[in-house]
Order: sequence, then structure tokens, then C-alpha cells
Amino acid sequence: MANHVFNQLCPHKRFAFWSTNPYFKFLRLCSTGSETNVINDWHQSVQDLKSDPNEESFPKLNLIAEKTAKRAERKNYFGEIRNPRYKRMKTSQDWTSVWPTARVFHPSTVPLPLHMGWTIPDSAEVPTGKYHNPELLKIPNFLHLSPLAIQKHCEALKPFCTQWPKGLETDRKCDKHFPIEIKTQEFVFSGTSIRWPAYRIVELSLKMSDLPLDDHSRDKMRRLLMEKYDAKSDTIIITASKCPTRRQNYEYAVYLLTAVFFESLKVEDWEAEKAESDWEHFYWSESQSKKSIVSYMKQIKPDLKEEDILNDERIKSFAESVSRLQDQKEDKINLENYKKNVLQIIF
Amino acid sequence: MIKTLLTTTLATINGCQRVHFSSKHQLLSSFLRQNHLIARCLSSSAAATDPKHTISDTFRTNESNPCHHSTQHLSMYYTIPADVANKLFVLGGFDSRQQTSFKTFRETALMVRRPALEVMDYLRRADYRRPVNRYVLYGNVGSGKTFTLNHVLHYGSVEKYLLLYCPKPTDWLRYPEETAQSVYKSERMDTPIDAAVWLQHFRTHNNQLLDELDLRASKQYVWSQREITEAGDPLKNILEHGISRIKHASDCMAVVLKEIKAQSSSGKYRVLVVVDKVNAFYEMSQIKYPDRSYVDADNITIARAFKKLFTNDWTNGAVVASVCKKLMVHYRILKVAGIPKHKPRSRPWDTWGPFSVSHLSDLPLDLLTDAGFKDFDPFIPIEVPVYDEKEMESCLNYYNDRKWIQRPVAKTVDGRNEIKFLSAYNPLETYEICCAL
Repeated sequence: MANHVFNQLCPHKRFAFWSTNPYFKFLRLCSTGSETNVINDWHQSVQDLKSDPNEESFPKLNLIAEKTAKRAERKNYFGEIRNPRYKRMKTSQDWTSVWPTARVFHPSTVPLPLHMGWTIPDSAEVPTGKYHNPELLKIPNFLHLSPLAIQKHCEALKPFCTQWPKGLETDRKCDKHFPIEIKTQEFVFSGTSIRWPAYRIVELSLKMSDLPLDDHSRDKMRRLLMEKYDAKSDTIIITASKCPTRRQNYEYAVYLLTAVFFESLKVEDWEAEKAESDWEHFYWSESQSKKSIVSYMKQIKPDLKEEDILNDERIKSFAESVSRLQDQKEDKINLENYKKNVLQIIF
Repeated sequence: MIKTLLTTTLATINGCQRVHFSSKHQLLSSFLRQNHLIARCLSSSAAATDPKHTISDTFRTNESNPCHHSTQHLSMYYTIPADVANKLFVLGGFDSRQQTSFKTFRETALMVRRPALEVMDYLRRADYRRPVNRYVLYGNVGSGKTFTLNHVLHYGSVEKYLLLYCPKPTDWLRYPEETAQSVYKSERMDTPIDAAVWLQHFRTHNNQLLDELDLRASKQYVWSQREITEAGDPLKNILEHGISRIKHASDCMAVVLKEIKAQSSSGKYRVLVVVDKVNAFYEMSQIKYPDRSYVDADNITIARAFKKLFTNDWTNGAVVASVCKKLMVHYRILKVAGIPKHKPRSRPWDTWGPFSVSHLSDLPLDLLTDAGFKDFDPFIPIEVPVYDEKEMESCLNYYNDRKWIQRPVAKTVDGRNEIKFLSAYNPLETYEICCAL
């Protein structure tokens, strides 16, 4: 490749190389024939002028330079340009030796027909090839991380590792034994100060189903946690960043979890004041819907007891349909179900 | 032979159909469209006179009595006789646009559709000794809820129900003619003119029935020092008093409604409460107290009185209501457009929200709100769908017949398909598109 590039470079520099290089100077000296000829000619022309005193006294002034004799072509010794390395590679070679570490893309070493670039849309253009392609140079290549390389790394690291604990073979088993997950971030940078503020942030997450809670406690915990609880995945995520150090934030997160857990197990007096607007889901048995349907049935048959009314199949399915309407999003299916149940009761 | 046929058919034409007597040829063709029997007799000459009518002309029915409407009349237009229509819809059961179109078509014609038949079927089957059934109609904007309600109203008037009709609760709650503080209870607001107007319409709707039934007041009502209604006085007196003394009209209306509700258990009469846009009762009102705070809907006398009819603690009645999402936008808009992009720092947007309702749900629960649901539960929700294929054809045939569609392109099959596509089978959209044709 060096030849290839050098050949394209300015010819005069090449010329200078050939003239200053001592080896080639010697060659030139050896091939005296060509140079002395030139000097002899010059001397000859001077003598010609001098040898004719009878001719015009003035020497001829040639304004237009005569064509001097062409110098003999200098033999330029370039080495044979070998074909690029990738053409001399065998498929059975060890790639990890060819590309042992991360390095900038080198087209003649990579045996892949890569093209990368922008083309005019809907044209027959082909993206630029791997030679002279700055885009391929800009992006990170992971040619040093072939599966074989990784395997070799692992084999090299194995003597320094211990056995994976027994009883933790699957993810589920790990989650069961280690429900709490702590997330922290490490940063590598160059700067004047060793401090990086984001290093102190600690995220503690666990599933609420792993905690021993009953219905009331679960509801209370959800209310206490507010946005720290994600209902879809049933996870509690406590992010602590108040304190300056990581250890302090970790301890604070653990403290928060403990406090919320034990607080939700308690039952306060004022919790009995929970009103309909606070219901987390529709309690049909305490709702107006139940009262209206019971009064309706009683108006039809005054001697029916409330237990009998509630045990009636139709009333039960009606209650379920109303709860579904209220809890879930109201859509046509739920509404049709509700209509069916109401028709059963009314007609 | 043709002449005799003509005379007989003239006798059977409904009064509101005025046929153009410009030529015998036109007379024949218009008859043909109305009565298939004659069409069958004169089929040969029909083909000669009307080559354009290759589409089937079964979009009309003669049956103007809604009691006899059944599935065989589906997707056909029936006409309400002009005098009955005037009586029923004098309050304005229809939009002003629809009313002008009725004037243009010179008849009040409604399409017989499945939801109306369903409601009428329930009304027939219901056990009136049980507490009242509530039927709530819901559907897309412009799918025909108001028309269905009016069909049911007509049915109720024929079947001799006592009609309590409120076509526009928004008029009472948002734009009343006049408000006054109630004498009876200081936090209540009266709407005297609206109450008086409603009492007048109540009288026109139920004139005969009131005379027949001769309801009496159950207790004494003191309107002022000199005006007292004794127990046992006919209810008509209270009506007349309310209409003449507008100052007491709201209280009179409330008393009338209360009495009707209380005495319905006697079984002498059946009440049909028809309310359009019932979710207006559960929304915020735009009436203000003198200190410029908004009045609750429960504190407006006539609204409160009407709301008491929606609960199921009375018998011998039925409540047919419809919910509408157009009234959710507090600003009067005619066209329901897509959600406009939120303009930051826009005061109308911040105060009133987006000027469109396409993001709201059509379904009754969302519109009735919690309080409404508590009142109405258990109710029967009935969907009013957009036109299906048959109904659409029938509608376009009707517009053709009424010469509402003028352009010849719109009468071709391609043109019709385009109308169907553009309107998405929505009745209101079809009407609006055909207005331009």
C-alpha cells in the first residue's frame, strides 16, 4: 500500500528522493554515459561558437530555447506491489492473531466485502467500498471480539473464577432467593476532580408480591409509595439520591422500605373514614348499586330477605357486571354484559 | 280505470303529503313511489314513465301508527301526520336544521330503525307494577338518537302515555331565558319563563289525557297570601296558575311533576318520560348566583324536580333517555372537528378545554358520570348504530324522492357509493353531504 500511495504523490518529491538517496547517486555516477554526453554537447556548442571568428562577432542569442536532447529515462525502482493481505489469508487462519485488540479499521486486513455510504435514492449507485472509506474508520468495529476471541478470554479467566453457587441455576431461583435488586452506576472519565455526582444514586427494586402483606396492607403500601410503585409489573422502585455518598443512599433506601412496610401493617383509626371517592376498586357490596337493586327486588316482592336477594344467581352476575364496568374500562363488551344481566332481572 | 284508481288513492293519501298536480304523468310517478300495490298494477306503464327508477322503491311505508311498526317496516320512512307532529314537537324536539328540512320536504318523516323498535318492544313487555325501567340510548354523534327518541314519543302519544318531554335540558341549565332566586328555598334558582313554556307544552301534549284523568292535588299548596291551591283541586288549576303567573311557574312545574310521580302508583295512567341529552343534568350548570358562583344542577328547581323522575322509586312509568357528548364542550360548536393541537398560553383552551369531542367516549357510563350512574342503575343501555346498507339505500332513495339530491352524478351508483364512503354511513353526515348536492 505504501508504494501505491507513494506513486500517487507529487512526482517531484519522488525525483528528489531518487536524487538525494546515496545508492541512487552511485547508480547515476555509474551510468556516466548519459550525463557526460550532455556536458560534452555543451562544451561542443561553446567551442563551435568560438571556432568561427569569421562568422558574426556576436554570438547568436536564442530567445526560444532549442529542444534539448531528452534525458534518458531514469529507471525507477519500485518494489513489486504485492496483493493485499486479505487475499493471502486462508479461511483456516486464526483471526484472533490477525486482529488481537481493538484497532482502527484496516481495509486490506479485513477479508470482508464491506460497503458503507450514502447513495442517491433510487439510483444504480453502490455504496462506497472499504478502501478510502472514512465512514468505516469512524465507527467502532468489534473485529477483536469474535466468538473465538471471547472464548479464549473466558478460558484465560477461568482459573481465577469460583463455582456458580448451587441452587441458583435459573433466573427464577435467583429472584426467589435474592428478591432485592440494587442498581448503581460506575463512571470512567478523565478530569481534574475525582468526584462524579451521579455515582451516588442508588436504585432499590423488588416485587411487592415477595413481601408478606394482606389486602389492607397491600392497598396501604400502594398509597404510601405513590409513584414509586409500578402497577403493571408489580415492582417497587426506590431511587435514593438525597445523600452525598453511595453508602448513605443505600442505607436510606433500605430504611425507607422498612418504614413503609411496617407502617402499612398498622391500621389507624382514621382509615375507617374511607369514602367512596377513595375506593381503589369498586366495592359493590358497599355501593349505591347494591342498595338500588335490593330496593328494586323488595318492591317487587316485599317479603324477600336481603340474603336471599344477594344469593340469587341473577343478582350475583349483575353485581359482577357492574364491578367490571366500573373497574375496567367501559367498552361495548362490558356494556353488553351489563345489559344482558339487567334484562334478566327486569324482564 | 286509471281515473278511478287515482280517486281511490287520493282518499288514502296522508294529509301532509301534497302531490304536485302539474301533470298526470307526474301524478302517476309520485303515486307509484308511495304505494307498491298500484305500482304492481301499472308496472308496464311505470317502466315507460320512469326509466330512472331501477333501484327498488321500498323506502316508504304507509303505516303511520308506530304501534304497528315491526321488523317488516325496518329501514322504511313513515310520516307523522302534520297535526300530530305540530303538537308533539312544538317545543322543538328536533334541531333547527332538521326542522327546516322538514319544512322543505313538507312532511315529518322518520325512518323506522331497530333501536326504536327495541325500546317499543320493551315498553310493551314491561310489567308496570314494577318500578320504572330506564332505557338509555347511546351512539356516535349524528347516529340518530334524537330521532329514535321522537319515534318513541310518537308511540307514547298514540298509546296514551302521559308524556313528560324534555328535549333540551341544556336550555334549562345553561342558557335559561331568565333566572330568579327561589322564594321557597333561598339557595334554589328558579327559571320562570322556561318553566312556564314547559307547562304550556305539557298541556298541549297531554290535553286530552288530563281531561280524561282529572288528577287532583293531594295537599294544599300556598303560592302566596292570596293564591292557594287546596287539596283535591284539579291539577289543571296548578297548570293554569303556573302559565299565567310566571313568577310561580317553576314551583308549579315542580309540584305537577311531584304529583304525577306520587299518583302514578294508582295505576290509572302510565307515564313516559322522554329526555334527550340527559347527561346535561349531571354536568355543571352555567347559571350563576348573584355573587357569581355557579349553581349546582340540584339547586335549579325544575332540573331538580325532573331529576327525581329518574330514580326507580315509582311505578307505572318508563324513562327513555339519551346521552350526548356534544354538550360536553361548553362552547357552542356546530361542527365536531378533530382534536386541535394544544396552543400554549391560549386562554380559551385553558378555560374550556379543546373545542371538540372526538376524544370523548360515546358510552353511557362515561357520560352519565358517577352521580348519574347511581341514579340510573340498573338501566338498559341501547345502542343506536349508524346506518347499515339497507338503511343507507333507503335514506338516499328518500332524498332522491324529495328532490333533495339534485346533481345527476349523485344519483348514479358510483355517486351513491361515494356518498356512502364520505359519510361513513353516519346519518347526520349523509344529510350534510346531500345538502351540498
